[in-house]
Amino acid sequence: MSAPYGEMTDGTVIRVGLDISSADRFFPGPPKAESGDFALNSAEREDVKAGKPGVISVWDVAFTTPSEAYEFLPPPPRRRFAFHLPIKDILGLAYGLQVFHSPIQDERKGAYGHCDLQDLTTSRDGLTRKDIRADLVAIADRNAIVVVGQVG
Amino acid sequence: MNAAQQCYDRHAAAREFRFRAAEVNDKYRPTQIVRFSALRATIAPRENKPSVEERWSTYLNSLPARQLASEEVVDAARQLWRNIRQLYDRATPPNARPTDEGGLRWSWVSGGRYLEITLFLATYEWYFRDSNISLSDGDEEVPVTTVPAKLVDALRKLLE
Repeated sequence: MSAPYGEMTDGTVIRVGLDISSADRFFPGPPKAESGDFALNSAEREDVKAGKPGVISVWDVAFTTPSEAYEFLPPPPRRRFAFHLPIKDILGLAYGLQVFHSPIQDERKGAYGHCDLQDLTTSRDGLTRKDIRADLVAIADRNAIVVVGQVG
Repeated sequence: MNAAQQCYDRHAAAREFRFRAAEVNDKYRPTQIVRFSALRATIAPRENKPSVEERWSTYLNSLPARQLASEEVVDAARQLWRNIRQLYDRATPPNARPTDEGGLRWSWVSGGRYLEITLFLATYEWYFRDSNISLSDGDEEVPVTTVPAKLVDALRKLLE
């Protein structure tokens, strides 16, 4: 479905967060990321069980808007949050994470901007996985958050 | 209506538009909103917005009816929140959401620090991360009747 075009070392990617309607989340102030926004979905967990590295989808803002990224999400449609993550900040974490440009072969706008953020799981204990997600939350908290989707 | 009256009405309408635009854009809404009409000025009292605590309480109360969490989980959440507030009265309500397992996830994030509590029913787990100094802490299977001192310390670091 996708083919890696190479490692990215600069720019900004967006991560569309949890598969939960924004209406079901509570925020005392402006919307904030939490660790679940950077957790693997069920298909990604299946890939890990099959021996593949832990990868989550992110999108290069140079080629994909948050709304375009939202269009690639599986149904049902829900209002969700998109978090901006500078790649240098991701690579600056102490876990050796990598961002690979991995366009989706699809006619829809924004498909070219798809990227893989890896590796969130391989050879990592449970606490380290939590640390990775928490550090990604901290990066997201320093950058823009936008609402995407119109329903629910 | 004569020309002078029409002109006066147009100015009044423009004034009202500007005030309404300011009302929408102003981050800090005035306590009173002044509306002008062509014939008179009126002072309307500001509608009372619910406090964060009230919104938090409303959110928790709404969860069972929306089938997002059971009454038992919400009762446990209320108890845990009361216990936290008793130990740290400056605690502000968390970001929150239901979990896939029928529990609740609470979180706070600020200044590179992150705290989350995952409530199951009678127990919860908590996890704190200070990304600035790569420090992590936490515990699992904590009874909702208990709030560890380290959890309160973590919350204090986040909110002060």
